[in-house]
Amino acid sequence: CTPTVRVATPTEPITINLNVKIDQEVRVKLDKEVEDLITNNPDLF
Amino acid sequence: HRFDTASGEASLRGDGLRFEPDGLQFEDLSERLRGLAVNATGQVIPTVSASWTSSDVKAAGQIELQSVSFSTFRLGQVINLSGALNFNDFINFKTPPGQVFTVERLQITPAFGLENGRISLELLGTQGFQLESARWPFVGGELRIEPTRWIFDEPVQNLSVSAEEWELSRLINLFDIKDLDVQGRVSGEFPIEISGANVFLRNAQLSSVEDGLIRYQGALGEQASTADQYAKMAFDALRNFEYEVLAVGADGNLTDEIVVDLALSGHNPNLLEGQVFNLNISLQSKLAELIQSAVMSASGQATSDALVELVKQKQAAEKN
Amino acid sequence: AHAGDPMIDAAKDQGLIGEQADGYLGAVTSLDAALKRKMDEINTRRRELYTQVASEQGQSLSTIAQISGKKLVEGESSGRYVYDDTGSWVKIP
Repeated sequence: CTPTVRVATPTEPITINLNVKIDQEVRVKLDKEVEDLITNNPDLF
Repeated sequence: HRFDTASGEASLRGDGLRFEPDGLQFEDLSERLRGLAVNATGQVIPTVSASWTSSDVKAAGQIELQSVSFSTFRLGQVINLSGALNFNDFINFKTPPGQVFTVERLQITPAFGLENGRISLELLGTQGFQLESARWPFVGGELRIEPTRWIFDEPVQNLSVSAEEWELSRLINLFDIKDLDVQGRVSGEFPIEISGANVFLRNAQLSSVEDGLIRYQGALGEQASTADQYAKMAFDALRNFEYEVLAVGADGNLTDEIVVDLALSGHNPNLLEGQVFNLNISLQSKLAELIQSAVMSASGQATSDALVELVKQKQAAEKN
Repeated sequence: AHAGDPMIDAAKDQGLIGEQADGYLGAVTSLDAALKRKMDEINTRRRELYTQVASEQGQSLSTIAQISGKKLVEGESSGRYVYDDTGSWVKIP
């Protein structure tokens, strides 16, 4: 018989779930920036 | 004016008005426009002709807008809008269909803007307008808003957006993710819900129109290898991933947090003899922060911590 | 709260409108057209200012608006209404 070459066909797909969460801690500086915004615009706040 | 029939007409050819921060504003044209737009600048050239009889007054005319900019509550800042409003009923603020405008830039949130828009609409009075078409060139393709009725006082406005041949490489560039090279294009349609100050993306689904390639050599790969072998395998595959199937999903609030899901099926020719992978990558972030942070920089010192949460597919992995 | 726009302050005292946790003014009851337009104008100006701070600080618009909303709700005087995170209008005792 003729030698048959068995090509390694890729088996069942491998399923991988990957969750990437990109976080940046809210810097305290923000609080002050917003505080200034409110006090500098009394007609709006 | 003809006294015998108590009728007449007059026309006003303004030499042009100028919106200025401390000067003329929308509400000065009509109190009914207060709250629609603030901090308007730019040139307004009205030509109004009125005719009246003893019983009614009819006024038609045109308002030409030249590089008019203003801020709105729902869509953010409109920058350099130009075009003309041809009124067939000026008093009731109504125009026929086909009023065309160009908008140099629509800055919806600090992190997301659209340039060179072309809009066609019909004004329905001060309560709203019929949007006939709105299109922007976007990441190598086009972004269109399907025809809809826009009512100013309506608390919730639903739109359908269609994506036409968006180039993934340029879409990814919006997110400023370094070391990620993606080839391929996606198209699709998705609903957007604007309510209050939020612009919600409701499960947008875009799919690839052709095979493509992804190459990622970034920092996340190194961090992953310590955490979990499956993640390492995923990142190894992504070093040179030829995909046949790709779907991009997005869900969340453009002004706040967005989750972008990438579903890929393909292989890396030099990994496990081209073993096929189904990769489901979910990228969760506050869009503005993603753009500001170089979280995936090649040098690896992510300025913010990139938390790789691994969900393992034990069954799939053990089956082979 | 310090004096804001007179029309808005009066409407707050009458319980017609109030501060919300999301950083904007909201209608407690149905409003007459003039007050509604005035409230819309104030909210649009607030959004513009939040946008400026958000882009300077590289934060999302909602992050800035919510920080402001928290301060405005907490700073509101008794007798007025606030729409807090529980999702309902509450009269401050």
